[in-house]
Formats: sequence, C-alpha cells, structure tokens
Amino acid sequence: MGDYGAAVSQKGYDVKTCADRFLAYSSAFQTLKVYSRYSVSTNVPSIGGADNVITINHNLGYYAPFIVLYNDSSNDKAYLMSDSSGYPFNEIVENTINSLTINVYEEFDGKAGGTTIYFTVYLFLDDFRSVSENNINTSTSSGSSSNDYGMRISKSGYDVKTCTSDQLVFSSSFFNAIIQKKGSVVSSGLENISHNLSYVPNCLVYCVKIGESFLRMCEGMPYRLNPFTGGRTGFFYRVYNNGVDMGENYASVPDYDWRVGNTFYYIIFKDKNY
Amino acid sequence: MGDYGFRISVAGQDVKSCNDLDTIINSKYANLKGQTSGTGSTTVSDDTTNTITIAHGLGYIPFIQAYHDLDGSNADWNLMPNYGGISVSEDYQIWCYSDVTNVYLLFYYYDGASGSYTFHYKYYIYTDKGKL
Repeated sequence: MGDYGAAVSQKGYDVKTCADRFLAYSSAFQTLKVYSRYSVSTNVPSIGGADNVITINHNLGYYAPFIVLYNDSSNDKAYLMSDSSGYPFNEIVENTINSLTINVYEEFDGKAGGTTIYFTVYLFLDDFRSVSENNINTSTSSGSSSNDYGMRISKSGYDVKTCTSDQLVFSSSFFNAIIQKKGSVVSSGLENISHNLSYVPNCLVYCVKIGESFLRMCEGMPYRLNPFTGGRTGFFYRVYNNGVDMGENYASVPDYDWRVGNTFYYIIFKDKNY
Repeated sequence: MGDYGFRISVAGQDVKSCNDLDTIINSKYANLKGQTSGTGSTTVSDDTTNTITIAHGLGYIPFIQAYHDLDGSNADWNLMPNYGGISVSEDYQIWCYSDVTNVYLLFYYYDGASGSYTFHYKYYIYTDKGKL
C-alpha cells in the first residue's frame, strides 16, 4: 500500500528522510490540539470557610486532557500543577465530561483569606480513543541545518506574516506535540504501557478513579511509596525509554498496594530531543 | 463570517464533513508548539535548594513542563512537581515555574547529615503562554 499523505519537517530537517521526531506535522500522526485556554481567578477562602470553586463549562461531552498553571497572587509566574512551594494541587482539579472545576481551599499556597489568586487552564480538544504506536523512521541522524524554510498557520484574526509565535496555530519552526500513542486502560495493579520509542518521551497521564466520574491529572511518581515508612499515596506515573508506568497506590497493611479498577488515560508524544 | 482555514483529516474521514476530533491539524485549534528543551543535572547539598535558571527570551510567561529522575539512573523520569522521602531520613522537593524572563527548576534536599544528592532533569519550554 502506498504511503499517501503530507508531512512537514521542523526547520533544518529534510522532510523526505528525517526521523519521525523531527517532523512538525505528518498525516500519519495525530497532534494535541488546544480546544480553549482560560484565565480564571478566585479568592482564597477564610479559615473555616467553604472552598471557592472555579467552574469552566466546556460541554465537550467526553473526557478531555487538560493542564492547569498557577499564576500566584502576583499573576506574574506560571507553576505547572503546583503551588509556589512546590506542592502538587492535582487533587483539587476535576474534569468531568462537561466541566472542569478548581476547588480552592482555605490557606491555599499559604495565602490569607480574601487573597485573589490566578490560574491559566489549557483544555485540549482530543479524546482518548486509542491510537496505536506508529514508527515510520526512528533514525537518530538528523541532518540538521540552520535553514528556516517551512510552513506557518495563524489563528483566526492574526496576520500569518507578522503575528507572534503564540498567535500561530502551527509552525514548522517549532516541535509540535505529535502523538506516538494514546488510549486508556483499566488497572489491574501498576499498569505499564509500552511505547516502542527507545527513548524517554513526554507524556500526559490522567485517571478516573473507580466509582468516580471525573478526570484527574496524575503526578510524577515519588521515590518512596510505602505510607507506613514515610512514602506517599496517590495517582502517579513515571516514564521509561520503553514504556510508562501508571497506578494509584494506597495503604494496605502491612505496606501498600496498587488499586484495581481505575481507568487511566494516557497520551505519549514523540520527542525531538531526548 | 466565512469559515476560512485549514484542516487535514485522519485517514478514512472526509475532511469536508468530519468531526473536529477526526482532524490531525485544524486551524480552529492551535497545536502546542515547543520552543526548546534541554537536560542537565544538579547536586544538592543537605538542607539546600538549588535553582536552575534558564533564560527563554520570549518576553512573556511561557508554558513549561519538566521531568526529573530520583535514583540517579537517568532511566525513569517523573513529572515535576514532586516531593517525598528518599529514605527514612532523606526528603526532597522538586518543582518548576516560569516568569517573563526565565524558567526556574528548584531542587531541595535534606538528610540532616551533610550529605548530598544528584538529580537529573529535563525540561520543555513552549511558545504557548503560561499566563494569558
């Protein structure tokens, strides 16, 4: 069967011969698409007060991946899924099939009641229908040059010749989030999803806990997992050069166990640099 | 207003009529665009926070992601932020953020015994904004 389609390489790479990871776009691979971005804020509740809930109604009708950045009370920084001290806040972000909520609790980030805090939310269009891994060219020789020929597409309302990078839908000057593999799995313990890339890629992992109906973003796996000897419980993942581990560990005397029956949703990307 | 634009469908779908979910690229929706990425390592002394500062030159606050290893093997990577214990007496906290000038990767280590620990890291800086 012929390999019909289109491909655009990143700047400096020969589109006919470069490895998959140096493509900006290929009709052989899906990409992560931003459905919408939101700038939201709320006040930190006073001590003893109820959570202040930020609600974004997106009405997509399916579980969609998301990312939340905390912009602090000064609104001049961007922390990925953590407060300013580095504590993950994955547990306060819940994405159902139609709305995303951020539940801000008292003393969040050590702030006084009434302090206004800001978040930036990325919601992606893509769902978690299975895409099998697909490697066309896994070569590691790049043939890179400094030439910046290529292709760019602007967002609606922006001049493609003059707009900024952030105002582009697509540009071959940058590496894009090309999807190597995506899908979901019901856990029977600690799950491992292979990706067959032979390098450690970027990925996003989410979980719907058994009996719940919202998506939460999983955290990086901590070193110690046994809660009886100082470890942490929670929803975690870690990435290897041959796969991704994901699971929810919980206290189970005498140490801990991996929860059975949760549904994990994952997106694994091809990676220009590894 | 007309719906001018650009879309390419996945194999087997009619590009003129398919759902947006079945498009590979679609000018209605931006892709995440990676500006640069990098790797490195840092050795942190007891009860100290090392800050890795990376100038991004974008002039606005970018969206970033970062990973780290925890056992020195450089083989398994975990998304930042992360915290916890390495042993009963060793703790760590690792997180990242960006501002209009730099990306910051922060590594805290504590063992109470004047030891040190080496963390490897990997980061991605996107042209997309981390604050709109």
